Amino acid sequence: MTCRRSIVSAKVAAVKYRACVLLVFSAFLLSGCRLIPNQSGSSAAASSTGTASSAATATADFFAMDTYMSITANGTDAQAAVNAAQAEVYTLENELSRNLPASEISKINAQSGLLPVTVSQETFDIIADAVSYSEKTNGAFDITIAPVMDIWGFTDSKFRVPSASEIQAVLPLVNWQKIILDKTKLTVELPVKGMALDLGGIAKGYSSDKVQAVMRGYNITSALISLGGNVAVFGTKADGSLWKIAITDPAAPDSYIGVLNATDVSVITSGGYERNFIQNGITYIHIMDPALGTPVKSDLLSVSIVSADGVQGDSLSTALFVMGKDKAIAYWQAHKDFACILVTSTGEVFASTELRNTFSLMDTKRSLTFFN
Amino acid sequence: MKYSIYDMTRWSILTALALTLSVTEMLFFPSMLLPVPGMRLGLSNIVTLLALYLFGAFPTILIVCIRCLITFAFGGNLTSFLFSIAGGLLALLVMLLLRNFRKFSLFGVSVAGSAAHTVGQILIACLMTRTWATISYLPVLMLVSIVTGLVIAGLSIPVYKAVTAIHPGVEN
Amino acid sequence: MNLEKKKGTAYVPQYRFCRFDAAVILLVVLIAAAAALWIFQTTQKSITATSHLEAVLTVSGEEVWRSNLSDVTSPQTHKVTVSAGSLTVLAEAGKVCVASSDCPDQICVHTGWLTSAGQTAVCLPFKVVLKVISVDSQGSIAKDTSALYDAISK
Repeated sequence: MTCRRSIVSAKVAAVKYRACVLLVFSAFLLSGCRLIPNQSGSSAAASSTGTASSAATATADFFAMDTYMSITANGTDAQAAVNAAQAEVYTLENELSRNLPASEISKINAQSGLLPVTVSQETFDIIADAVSYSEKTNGAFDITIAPVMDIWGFTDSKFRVPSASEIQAVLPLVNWQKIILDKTKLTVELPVKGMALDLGGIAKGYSSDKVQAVMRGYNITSALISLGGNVAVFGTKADGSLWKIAITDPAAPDSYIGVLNATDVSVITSGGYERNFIQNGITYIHIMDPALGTPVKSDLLSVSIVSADGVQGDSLSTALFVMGKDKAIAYWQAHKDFACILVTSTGEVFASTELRNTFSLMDTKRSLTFFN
Repeated sequence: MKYSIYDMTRWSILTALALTLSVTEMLFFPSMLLPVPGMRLGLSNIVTLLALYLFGAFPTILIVCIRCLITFAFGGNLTSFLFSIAGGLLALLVMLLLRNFRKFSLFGVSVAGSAAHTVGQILIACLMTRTWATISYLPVLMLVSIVTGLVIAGLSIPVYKAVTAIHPGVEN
Repeated sequence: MNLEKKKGTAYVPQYRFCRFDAAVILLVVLIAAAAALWIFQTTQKSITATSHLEAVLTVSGEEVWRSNLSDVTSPQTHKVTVSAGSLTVLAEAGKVCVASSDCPDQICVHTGWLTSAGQTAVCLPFKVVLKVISVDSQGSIAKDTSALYDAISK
């Protein structure tokens, strides 16, 4: 049988082809609606398993703030609480992210050396908090570190080792004391051109506090919030036990050094193992020494802060890492409004004394010292 | 050179068209939205199909190879280059065979081409992951390639008609 | 079969869908079915009585791959390709990891082996998440009460 083009069927075919082409192109138009800008919003709000009548569990895993987040709630309103929490994270991301051009932080950075920028109460509060921690830690924690992060390539993941002159050029821009805050007008000003803020060291802690506040407004018994490794918990689990939070082993990040039994706390860890690059055999970590403009050379591999305040936990975990073991312990002794776990470069673990009954090592052969 | 500048210019234009089509299709269907990696409409196969009928085997091979090379040169990685060239050449081979057996219409040729393209890519994938388990993608992708093959043929026909109407005898 | 060898080509395309095209489509469907059968056969395993570990790989939240780690006898790899590059997952008996990735940070690769339920390796630039979950015999996700921890601070 041969297929020949006959005149009648050609006309029918012509109509059919035009119809097909139209269909395909309208499919293109409709598919364009799927292009949603970076709200990578696959909120796989997965299991809602219920055992007893009021015991439901809901979980949401999603990407936000450049990291992977997981929120779990137990209780009657678990699903609603988790949804509200996720929405809160997206809202905060829009305000705080340096990478989103429309965020308030980006606007402040764009106006450096020019004009003060009016911001929302929330953004103002978080910057004010950051400044107060800069003051308490004598600048070990400094949100104006952004220009230094840029020249080392940590902002866009194009890692490089800058020259000494490049570092000297941006170092004057790193100075938390130059930030001008006006509480009545709610403005933030960076007076020198080229200054920039990066809230990466405090945003997750702040967000986890906010998310907790949102979730506590729902009828749930307990919740676990993990924002990229910043863990916050409240309430007790279904069987009445406390939450078990492990601390990553900085020398072997797929394993952990110990477990903390706690609730109503945030556990926030900073360590060089999280983000670094290796060039010519030398490892450069993402935690910068604000005084030198280079990755900090600390005798600590990681610092975990256990406190009820996420902002405190986030900023102090960075600050104490920069300070090194002795100054970190001294800082704790001077304040004592938080608990901490330090892992040194020799693999020893130091923990503040109030964790004596709640923190235990996985490998009991490792050295663990509680300090007062 | 037995091919004229005129011919080679037309082939270049088709190559550029093929590149444009593959970029455009990425805009509408960013590969991350699709459930299965590698699922694509394959609009640049319109060009391959047309070139086979308008210009013949050798120019089409050139167009496919150059298209893959340019995509690789402008920011592709080695794996995607290997995928596209393996799929593209296998598809070309199959379409060439079917074209020579004049009993197949454009639809058949195109479907066979899409299917061969998929098979080529899966084979490369198996080679790279060194496991036959990668074949698990084959059923879904084959069925999808039937649909896309038909669509591509449907889109090619008006173009072919338009080209030969404007330039009668261009196919010779 | 007439092959007129001219410069250029004398192959005029047929426009009408005919039997041979249907045969091509049928052949493709058969190949797909054969592949599906083969896969079904090679991965068919009996349901275990106790809960086991499974590795789940998701891209932008959508599951693209899953593997029962208790059934893995010889090393198994899976490659995921996104527009920016590709990432390969390696599964061995009882453990899974991201073996390699084209991403600039390599955090996912540095995470290393995942050996217990709840552990994850994440590739941010590619929005790929590899996680290990505990599944009981009915296939639902078991609350792993023997888990050593609920979350890990890092």
